[in-house]
Order: sequence, then structure tokens, then C-alpha cells
Amino acid sequence: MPPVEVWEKINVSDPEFFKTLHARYGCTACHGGTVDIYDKDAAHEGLVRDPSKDDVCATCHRQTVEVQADSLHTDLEGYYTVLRARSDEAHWDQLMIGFELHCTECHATCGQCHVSRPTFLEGGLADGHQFKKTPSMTLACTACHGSRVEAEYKGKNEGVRGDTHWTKQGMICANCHTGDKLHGNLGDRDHRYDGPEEPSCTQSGCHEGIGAKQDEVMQHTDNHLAKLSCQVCHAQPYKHCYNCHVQKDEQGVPYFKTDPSKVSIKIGRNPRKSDERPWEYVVLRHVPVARDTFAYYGQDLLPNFDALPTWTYATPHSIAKKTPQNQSCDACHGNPEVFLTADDVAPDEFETNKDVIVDKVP
Amino acid sequence: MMQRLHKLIFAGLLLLLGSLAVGCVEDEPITPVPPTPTVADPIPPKHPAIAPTPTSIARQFPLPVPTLLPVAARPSSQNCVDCHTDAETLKAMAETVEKAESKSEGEG
Repeated sequence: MPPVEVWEKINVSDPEFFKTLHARYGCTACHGGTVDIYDKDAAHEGLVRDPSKDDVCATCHRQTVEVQADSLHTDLEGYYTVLRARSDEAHWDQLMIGFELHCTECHATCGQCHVSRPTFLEGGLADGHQFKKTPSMTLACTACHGSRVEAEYKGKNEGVRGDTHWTKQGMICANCHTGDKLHGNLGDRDHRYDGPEEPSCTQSGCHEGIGAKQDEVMQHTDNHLAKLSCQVCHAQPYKHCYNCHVQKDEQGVPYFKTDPSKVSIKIGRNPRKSDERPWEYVVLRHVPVARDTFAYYGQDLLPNFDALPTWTYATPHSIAKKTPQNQSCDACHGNPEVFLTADDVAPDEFETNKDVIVDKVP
Repeated sequence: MMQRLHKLIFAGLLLLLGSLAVGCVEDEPITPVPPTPTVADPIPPKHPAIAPTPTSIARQFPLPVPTLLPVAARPSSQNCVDCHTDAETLKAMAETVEKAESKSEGEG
């Protein structure tokens, strides 16, 4: 999504905003700056562009802001968790130079979802400074989560239909990913797949009675439901990314390069098996990290690269009732195309993925 | 001794005669003096001059959110509003920053 014009980013274009609660306190109450002066530079003296970075929102929304500090959107702990596993103390500081330059734009403040576009899109008021209780799906959620989630959900991957929650129900992200969960009310987590499934297909009041007597889907057997995550049968092909490398150009502008992505479904062994995610098989997505992703910033900055698989636990947003692998028994059973086998794994990554590769296709 | 007594009697008679002479004179009338004008300096009343008439107001929920500051204490933001609601002004004053083109390739 292209950024908007500079003037448009700061145009408080909706007069209705001035009738709202947030406008009562005056611009300077949140943004600072200098009152009663019409000289541009002088008026902007002490200006705070994104007040929510400084917890201004906590003045009124204290409870939300307090837990938000633990939200993965705020603390990016998911990234740090996997990088800590793949790196070590000796390389950490050097690794963080590259990480902070390339990856921290993913950090989101309150305002970047509820008032403006995220920094990742170069900011700018989203709707004339109106505060949106539910952020715009397009300008907030999929502005960042576009390459994989949006493409899958809206059916932008060639030959793959959109997710049924979108195409048939028109559900927006916030219908499943509610504010409570996004704001960190579930507690401090190290990774987005920590703890029970959130959202859960069967525990959120939507798909109840799966496998019960009244369930007419004959494939919903005890064996299938115990061994397979929902996505194993109901995810359509989704995107895999490869070989991300980050560096800076001659002017010091950071950039990245990735190999072309591929779209397929790959069922593999569950790398995050737990009481809450007990399935033997789940769908796996290849993540773009490579052994030398940060090589520009130092040698061997991911010395423990093999500590985590590169084919990782996934929850694609390409759900459908009927998918290529659930058309018939043979579409899945004995079909190596839908499983992650050794042939699918690059030789350099075989060791790191050995626990998720399916040796014998069931 | 007798001589001192005569002097006292003579002085007493003189006082008596003087008092009688004064009492026979007509009283002089008292002329009223106009009051001196003074500058008015009223003490401000502690209560409104006119007591407000009590009126019953129906409570409507939710109640209005209390303001953080009294209206008079809030700084004006009119300078901000005047510029940031005027698209033409913003266009005229916008500084276009040449942004180096990213060399990024592939999906992020």
C-alpha cells in the first residue's frame, strides 16, 4: 500500500472529530507544541508526533495501557524469543544492530492502530484524526500483515480461494482477534503460539460440537480430531518465504532481499506439541530466516541456527470447508505432495527440521 | 475665721447670681450641618444577589465525562486547528523530503 502525501498525513479533515471526546482537551494536551503562534517552526517547538509512545493514553485508558506493554505488538517478544534461541550472548549486541534497523518498524503503538497508519506504512492520519475503537482492517491490520495473512485471507494467491470467514461471512480481523487478546490481556507471552489457541476454532463459541453425536462430518473421527489440528484438513495452500537477507545501501538505507515465495500446503509433525496443542500433525510454514540473514552486520550472528526449525507451526488464513487434501481419503493418505518430506527440505536445513519432517506418509 | 466665712458666703452668692443670669438668656437655635459625602465601598455579597430558582434536571446516563482542567485553564489550540484543517495551507507549506528508493526485493 503506497504512503499518502505529506500534507494529507496531517490533515484533520473530519470536522466531526472536534465534537468528540478526544478533541475536548485541545491539541497541545497530547501533542505538546506551542500555543498561539502561527509561525510553523515555532508552533511545532516541543511537538510530540505520536503521543501514545509516551503513554499519554494511560491518562484515561490506564488498564489497557498497562497490559499493552506486554502485548507482542508492543514488546516484539516473539522476535526476541526466536532470535535468542538462534543466537548467543557473544553475538547478541551485533545482531541487535541489524534487528533494530530492519525489524522494529513492526512495533505498534496505540495510535498506530487506532488513529493513524502504522509507521511501517510511513504513518499519516487514517481518518481525519478520528479515533477508531476497532482499527481499520486495511490500514492497520493487513497494512503490516499483508504478504501472507491478507493474501491468504482475501484470496490473492493465484489459484487459491479466499478464506471462507472472509468470502462467505465477511469477517474482519477483529471478529476473531479481539482487543482483549491484542492488548495483552492474556498475560505476558514469549511467542504468539504460547498457551492455548487464541482464537480457538472450537472454544470461541463458533464451531461447537465438533465430533459430537450430531456432527455429520464423517471425517471428524476421534482419531482425526486427536491427531490433527483443524488446519491440517481445512487450510488451503498458503505462502512460504525463503532466504531473507538484510543490509544497507551506499546511502545507508536499509533494505532486504528474499527469494520468490511458494504456495503449497505442507503437513508436518507438530513442533509445539503441548497439552494445549496436542496434535501429532499440524501445517507448517517455511519462514524467511536463513543461516546468514544478518551476515551484513557480522559473521555468524545466528550460531545456534539449528535450534529451531525453519518449517514452523502455522495457522494459515486460507480456511475452507473443502480443500485439496480433504476431497477424499487418498487426497491426503499416501499423498506426499501435502506432507513435508525430506525432499521438500534444503540440505542445509535438514538438521534443523529433522523433527518436523514426515518420514513415512500416513 | 469669721472673715474667711464671709468671703465664702460672698463667692457662693456671686455663683448663684451668675447662674440665674445665664438661665434667663434665650437658647440659641442649633443649625443642622449637611453630612460629609463619603466614597461608597460596598462589601461583595457572599451569596448571589438573587437566589437561583431550583430546577429539577433529569439525570441522563452516561453522565458527561469530567474535564481534566477548567475550561479557562485549558490552553487554546486554535493555531493548530487553523492550519491542520486547511488543506490548501498544508499543501502550500508541506516540505517534500526526497526519500531514497529502497533496494528491497521480494516479499517482506
